[in-house]
Amino acid sequence: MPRGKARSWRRGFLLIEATLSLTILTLIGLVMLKLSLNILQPRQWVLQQTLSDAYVTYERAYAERLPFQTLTSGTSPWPAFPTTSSTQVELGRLPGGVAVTGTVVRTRLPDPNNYPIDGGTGTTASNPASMKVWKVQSVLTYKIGGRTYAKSRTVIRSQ
Amino acid sequence: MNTSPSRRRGFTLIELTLAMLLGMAIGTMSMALFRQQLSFLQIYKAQNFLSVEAPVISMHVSKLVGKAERFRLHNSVADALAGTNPRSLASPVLVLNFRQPDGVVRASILSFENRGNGLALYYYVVPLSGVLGAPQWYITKVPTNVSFSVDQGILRMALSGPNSELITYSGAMTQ
Repeated sequence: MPRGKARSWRRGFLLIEATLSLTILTLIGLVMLKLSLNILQPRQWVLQQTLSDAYVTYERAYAERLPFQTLTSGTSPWPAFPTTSSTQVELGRLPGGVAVTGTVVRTRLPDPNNYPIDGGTGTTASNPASMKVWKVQSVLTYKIGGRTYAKSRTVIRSQ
Repeated sequence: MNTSPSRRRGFTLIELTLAMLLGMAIGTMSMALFRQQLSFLQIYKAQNFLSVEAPVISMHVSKLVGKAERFRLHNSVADALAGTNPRSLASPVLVLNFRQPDGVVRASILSFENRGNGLALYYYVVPLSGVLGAPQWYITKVPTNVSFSVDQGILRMALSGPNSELITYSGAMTQ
């Protein structure tokens, strides 16, 4: 190769090196962005799970604490199935103060051994102690990234 | 003096411009990468309160509350110790009563207060003498606010985080 051509080829090679380094840097940037997103996205999902888990502690505690008479009354927060009550609730706030909301659907289901007056088909033979047993159920639904998630808590109450 | 063509030949304006532009692009890209990583680190740290700290606080408090026989809410440790001005509204102080195997009822206090080292949720065990000393330990120093309240007879604990997070845990007295 003539001397002049070899020199210009070397100078050109410097430009190629710089372009290559820029390309590699861009690729590294994209890979690191993807890696970081891979870490952050599941954590964002976990945050909403934490908030919804915390909220359902209230549903469970309320279902356990509510007097049995109130639970089975006409104004019960958990109406007898198939009637349900639906309430919009704020589960909590994410970093930045963004409120996360969901819908709580409450209902209660009778045990089959309850007497007919209490929603069951029991008789004095199958339920000699006149037990009243209800499954008190709360279903919380909320959305993350376009998907709807549901979380339920069921408490057995009896008298 | 060396006047050979290889020494006399310099770079053209276009070559220099290209080299400078590439250098600037590489510098900008490196800075952007660095800033991107810093931003992710900040987001990661901001998520820590809800994903790590709040569940741990809840676990500690629910263990304590679950073993208590009864509770009271107060606005200050002094009120809690004296048993005066109990309330059901959002309160920073929670008194828990525990019955020991010998039948003696002991008390402990959870209090969110500033004792000179910043806000923290402290745990006191009330001595039988009734004279309260320093707290036994603190549960957390991360939340900006911790308030206890009673709703429908259920004890609720609202934790506010340093990045405006809010999470509320609830629990009955029986586990």
